[in-house]
Order: sequence, then C-alpha cells, then structure tokens
Amino acid sequence: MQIVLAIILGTIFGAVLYWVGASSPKKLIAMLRLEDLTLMKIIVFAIGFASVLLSVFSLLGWFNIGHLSVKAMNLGVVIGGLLFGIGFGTVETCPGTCVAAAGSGGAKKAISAILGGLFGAWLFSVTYGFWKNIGLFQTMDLGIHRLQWQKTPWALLSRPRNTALNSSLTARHQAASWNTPAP
Amino acid sequence: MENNLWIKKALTLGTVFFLAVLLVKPIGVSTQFSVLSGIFHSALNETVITEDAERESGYRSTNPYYDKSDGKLARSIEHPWNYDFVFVLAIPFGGYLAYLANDKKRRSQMSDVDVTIPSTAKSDIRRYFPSFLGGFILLYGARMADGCTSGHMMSGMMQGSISGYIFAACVFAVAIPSALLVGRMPRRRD
Repeated sequence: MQIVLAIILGTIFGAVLYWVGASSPKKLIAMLRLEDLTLMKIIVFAIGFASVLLSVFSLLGWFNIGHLSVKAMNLGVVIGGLLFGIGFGTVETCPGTCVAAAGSGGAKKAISAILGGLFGAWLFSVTYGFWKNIGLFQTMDLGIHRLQWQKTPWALLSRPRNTALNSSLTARHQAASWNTPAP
Repeated sequence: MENNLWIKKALTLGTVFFLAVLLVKPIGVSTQFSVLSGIFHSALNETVITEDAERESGYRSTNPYYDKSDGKLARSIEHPWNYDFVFVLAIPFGGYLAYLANDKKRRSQMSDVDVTIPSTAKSDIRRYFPSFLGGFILLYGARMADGCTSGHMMSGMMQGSISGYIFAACVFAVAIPSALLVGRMPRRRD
C-alpha cells in the first residue's frame, strides 16, 4: 500500500514541480536574481497553505501526529545550508527539482547534476565521521523545535514544553539521535 | 488570468505537501541520494554493511553515517524498495508526464537549461561539468544539513520547524548573491 502511495504521490509531486516551474533553471535563476519572484510567491504561499491545512486537520483530530518529522537543529544545518546555497545559486537546481527535470526538459544537465549529487552524497557519508568527531552536529544543538505559541519569545530557545506533540517528537528524537545529551 | 495562475499553482503545491504528510510522511528527497550512492558503495565494498541480528534494523556498518540511528540508513541501502526510495523514483516520471502534457511553445519556456552556462562551449565536459559540480556541492551541503529544499524548506517550514527556517535563511543568504554574481560574469565565447 505504501509503495502504491509512493508511486502516486511521487508522480504528482514531479508533475506539480514541473507545472509550477520549479524544475526549470530559467525560472529559478530569475527568482534568485530577484528578477521574477513568481516562483518565490508560489513556494512561500504553498508552505503557508500547507501549514494552515496541517493546523486545521490537527485541530479537528484528523491528522496523525506521528506522521510529522521535524529535523534537528545544529551547526550542520547552517554550514550545510550555506554550501547548498552555493550550488543552488550557481546551477539553479536543487535535489528535488533536478530529479523532476531529469524526466522533462534539459534532462542531460539534470542527470549530470544527479550524478554529481550522488558523488557528493557519497563523499559526505565517507566524511561524516570527521565532521562528527570535530563536533559539527553537537554545536548549536538545539534539538527538535517547532515554532509555536509561547508566552515569552525566548521560550522558543528553551527545551520544548511537554505538549502531546512535543513529547512524541522528543521521544522520537531521543530514540533516533546519536548526539543529544540525556535530558 | 495570468495573475491568478500563481495562486492555483501555490494551492496545488501546498496540497501535495500536505497530502504526503497526511497520508504517509513529509516529502524528502536528498536522503535517497545517500541511499543510492550507498547502494553503489556497498556493492563495490561488501564489508561496509554487514548483518547484525542484535539490532532492530538488522544491519550494522563500518561507516558511521550508514550506522547512525541504529543502522537505519544501512537497512535502507540493503532494502531500498521502501516508500521514500520509490517516491523519489516516481518524481521524474511525473515530470515527464507533465512535460508531455505541455505544448511545445510552453516547453521551450519552461525547460531552457542553457541559461547559466553558455551553450556555445565546445566539449560535453565543459557543458555538463558545471552541473555535475553544482550537484556535488548541493548534495554535500544537503546531507550535512540533513535535508534539502523539499525536506527542510517545504516540509520543515510547513511543520513550523526551526531548523527549516534557519536552513532557508542560510540557503538564500548565499544563493541570491551567487546567482547575481554568476549573472554578471562575462560569458566566454569559445
């Protein structure tokens, strides 16, 4: 059943990425050069809309909170994001969109990017031990956090409150993590 | 009419991300690059991933990355036919269907890849190496951050994840200046 869903959702996702223009380097470069912000509007609106749907469905109890998966914050996110920005700004593609582009226009360049990506991912796997040893993933380790209604803004940076959602996330994080100090 | 189209696109994109998390889990792509490269890696070097019945995942690896989270990635490498991997394989298929559905005039507008690198470059290496190198940096960064545009930015920010917001800020802080710089570089005619 999951495999069927994977095929259906993956196909829709690829088609929508192409339709909104996210698989087109031309549109991405226009966005990053701040010449045509249509794609930016689409993406930001989509994030907001999905976020609203998520909140409404959770509120109504139609949403299985176990499906959420919030990623941990650490220095790797910052440095990785900066590196990612170099690639994103120069070749105007990202891992999802170059996979979508491989099936549509400009396939050869997209496939070159995928091959480069596979090599990059492999090199990261090999060098992961090094980064871990110098403490990249322990620095700025704020654990898993979501933006949520807090009485004080600085509470955002404290450990999450024990809401049902957060305790399930924290438990999952602790089960899955290799670097979080015991609470 | 054109003014409303972006809203329709945004609503559709948002709905797809929401449907994925409602039915299964948030969309993520870049982990599968690690899985696929790991498949090649373990095929070339069979000692990297070994079975270990004591573990829940059933596998252990000499590589700390495949081994992390109790060998979760090692398991995905040995048994790739799961939801995440098939999802990513289906993406180009969807892209192709949408490409076929598009008429020719729109196609050329959508998929002009030769914008950044002049197409006049002679050899194939000149033409495709920048994409290769870009993909390399992209995925190295994405794996270090543990997510890409889909995983961190779209799915992460949708869930209100702090790491998603920080990732997006870092990406655009570098991507916008570098796109502007690449645009200013004089194009070599050779």
